[in-house]
Amino acid sequence: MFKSIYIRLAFTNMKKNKRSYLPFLVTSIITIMLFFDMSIIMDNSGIKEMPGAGSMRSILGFGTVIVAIFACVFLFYTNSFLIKQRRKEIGLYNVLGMGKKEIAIMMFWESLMVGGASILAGILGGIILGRLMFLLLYKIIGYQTSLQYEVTGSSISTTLILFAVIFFVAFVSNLIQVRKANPIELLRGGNVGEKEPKTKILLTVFGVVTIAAGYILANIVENPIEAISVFFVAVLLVVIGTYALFVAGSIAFLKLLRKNKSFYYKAKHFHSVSGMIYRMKQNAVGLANICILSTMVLVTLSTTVGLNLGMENIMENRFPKELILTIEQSNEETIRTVDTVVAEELNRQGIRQENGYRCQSVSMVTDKEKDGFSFYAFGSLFYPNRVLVQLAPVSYYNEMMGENLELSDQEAVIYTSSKTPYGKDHFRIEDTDFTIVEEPDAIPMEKKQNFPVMESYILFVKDQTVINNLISSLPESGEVSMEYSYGFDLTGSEEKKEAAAEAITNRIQNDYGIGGYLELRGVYEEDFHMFYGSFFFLGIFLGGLFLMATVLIIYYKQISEGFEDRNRYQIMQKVGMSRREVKKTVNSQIRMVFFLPLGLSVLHLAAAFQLIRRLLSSFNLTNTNLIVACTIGTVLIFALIYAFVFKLTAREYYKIVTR
Amino acid sequence: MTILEVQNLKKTYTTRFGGNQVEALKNVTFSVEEGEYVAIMGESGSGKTTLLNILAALDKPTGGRIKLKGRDLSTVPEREIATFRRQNLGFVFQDFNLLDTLSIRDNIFLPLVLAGRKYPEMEKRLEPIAKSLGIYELLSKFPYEVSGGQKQRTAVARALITKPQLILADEPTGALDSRAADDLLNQFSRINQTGQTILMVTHSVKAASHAGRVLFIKDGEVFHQIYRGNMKNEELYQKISDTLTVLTTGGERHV
Repeated sequence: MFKSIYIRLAFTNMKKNKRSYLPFLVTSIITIMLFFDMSIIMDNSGIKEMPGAGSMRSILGFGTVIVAIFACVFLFYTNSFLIKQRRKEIGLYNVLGMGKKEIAIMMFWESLMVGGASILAGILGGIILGRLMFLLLYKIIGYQTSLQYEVTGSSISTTLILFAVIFFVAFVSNLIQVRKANPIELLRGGNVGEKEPKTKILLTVFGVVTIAAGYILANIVENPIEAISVFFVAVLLVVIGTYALFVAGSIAFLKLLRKNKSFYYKAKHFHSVSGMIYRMKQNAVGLANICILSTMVLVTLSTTVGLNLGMENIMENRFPKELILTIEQSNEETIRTVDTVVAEELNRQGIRQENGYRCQSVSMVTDKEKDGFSFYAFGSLFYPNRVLVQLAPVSYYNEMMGENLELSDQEAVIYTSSKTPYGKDHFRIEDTDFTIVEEPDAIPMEKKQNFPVMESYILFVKDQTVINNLISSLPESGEVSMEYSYGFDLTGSEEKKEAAAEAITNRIQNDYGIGGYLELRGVYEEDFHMFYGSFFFLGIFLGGLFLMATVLIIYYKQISEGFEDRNRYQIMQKVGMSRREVKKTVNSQIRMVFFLPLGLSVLHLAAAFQLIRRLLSSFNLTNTNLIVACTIGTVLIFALIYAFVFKLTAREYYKIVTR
Repeated sequence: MTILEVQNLKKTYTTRFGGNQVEALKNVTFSVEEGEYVAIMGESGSGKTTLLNILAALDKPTGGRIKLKGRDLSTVPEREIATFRRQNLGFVFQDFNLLDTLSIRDNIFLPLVLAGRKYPEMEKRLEPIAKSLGIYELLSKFPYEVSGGQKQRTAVARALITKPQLILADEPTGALDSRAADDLLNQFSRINQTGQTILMVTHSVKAASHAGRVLFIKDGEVFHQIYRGNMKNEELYQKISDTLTVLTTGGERHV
């Protein structure tokens, strides 16, 4: 019975304070929805089956951590302003004879109700939103992906625990605030304007330094998939720096604007600048939140759109020929066997090969030096700043080109997949020097590429002995595998091609026990679409989610500020501000709130560009122009949506303050 | 020279439901000469605030005419009304209406900023006004840091800085304690002595007794008026109270 009084009190308090509670409720629900949908994706079983699931999941995991940090900061700040507004009311209860303990009980119920309602609504809303977005995206993309909508228990429990803890911590901090103050202070609390924030030079510098450090780190990471923890640290630094910069830097910036008398004392800027300074503590975190969310939108969308549009480029890099058979370890005998099997099976299906090539080669990764190349490792691994060198006997060159070239021990033919030819007379690996006798413009084995994944050369030398001598002179010797590659285009129907491919794989692996793999472009294209489709889906899903959160938060923030500002605009109108001037002022004010964070997030994106490029090139997307175009396109479209929301918000705001 | 002419002013409100008509102002006619200090008195509900809102061009009359320095207010187009108000009228409100986001200085500058004046000019105008009102030391403070009387003096400074034709004061002492109220009324008298025309709406006898002429409004009409003549404040005070007694207990009209 006694307890129910507190519950009732808590309930009526919230009803009375609708104006401040509602925005808080809405923002926490949106934040919880965002986090929940993010963790749904994290737990999705389809992702575990995607190629590269490991790195994919760790990237998503980091994304979730960022959203969690975001949620903490956001809810905590919104809460602290809520409690500040309510100080007077709490003081009144105190004066009327409620002890601190009773107030604590009342506040506990309030927190419980707000927290419980937000978490419940957030999770329910998240479930519905996730479902809707999946349906919508299937419609838009037009094909199913390996990702199916599913809600896991663990995502519900993670969300529940995280936000229960956040709300509890917020409750405790509110309690401490109330406990510290005496009733008189509390009573006056609501009336005291926020103290004008001090310019914190140290924090501004700290913000700039952390952001710069994050930028530098992001640009020196060679392979983002490998160095994913470094990548994460970079992102974290930028996030922290963004908060610091907005909290401290924006105040410094605004005060600078205010000092500039001819700028400040203009009807357009006067109220917006002073109003922003007045509310800056509150605003700063809001602006930083918007900035971080927009950056997330931009990075996710530009990456996935780039990947999707670059599919052609990826296919070309991946498949110079329709069918490519690769035997990892080959000798003369396996080559003979493989060739026979291929010929037999093609005959059996009645299809013919054309534009074929055969080549046995050894690959190594090297570093470019001033006067040649130094050995790094065997194999054809991807390193963005290193050079791949393949060595092969000239007999294969003669075969694929229909030539009859004879080389001496020190002579070689060179081919590079880059558009710019090698062009020099000599090619030096460690201590072995070759004189280049020929450099063809094209060979069937590899196409010239506009945007090669990495710089690479094929060197055709006199024979196997020359290759063996070279290998034994290298610092790292031992068992070196000669890779055999057999590639060609095919005539005939798709079914026959597939049947032949299947039979070839089967016989080589099972009958002869030769390790290798066969890639048929047609089959791969399907898997490939599926795989990149999932990526695309994921990108759009997350990008859309972040976009929605950004828009809602920015809109709601402005609208609730509009109610606060209404009185001020009314006064200004009485003093002689026309409707037109009100409109102008509102526009200037909202423009600043909108485009300050957008500007910084575009800067973040620019700094992350190198990282995005490298990430995409590890997915075989190497067309830098395309990536640039996609990034710029994404920014433009985002800015357009942003501008639309800006117009809408400004109009609503105007309506509120002039009503 | 006549600054303000009000002729047969009428204002009828229609209630939201049912269309009942409420006559706030029936037929108000009076005029204010340049340099005059006029107080308008009446009980709450007598139409004082409606009258002031119409004079301030915040509201439109149903009938009648207002001329400010010979210009009919109804001929000022909607888009220029704010500019017109800014250039010709200064306001002092009961609840100060200062912006809490602005310092005292910036609050005073507000109408000039809206008018697009240059900063050095604003600074030049500010100094004598702030000094005479005794708020020069407070200029960098914020409204929540100063007392009610100081806030109201800030509002007066804001009204004066545009050098308006007419200052409209709506119950300016309403939210002040008696010392601050006395102080403010003395300021008003002093300002009036420099030639500034003031029109004040109040139901405080004390406030009205500082004026040069007192108009009484009852049931939407000007019911009576008293000229100060050679009376001292105290004598005028007595006369006003007497009139109010007659007004509330009924009596004949003398205009």
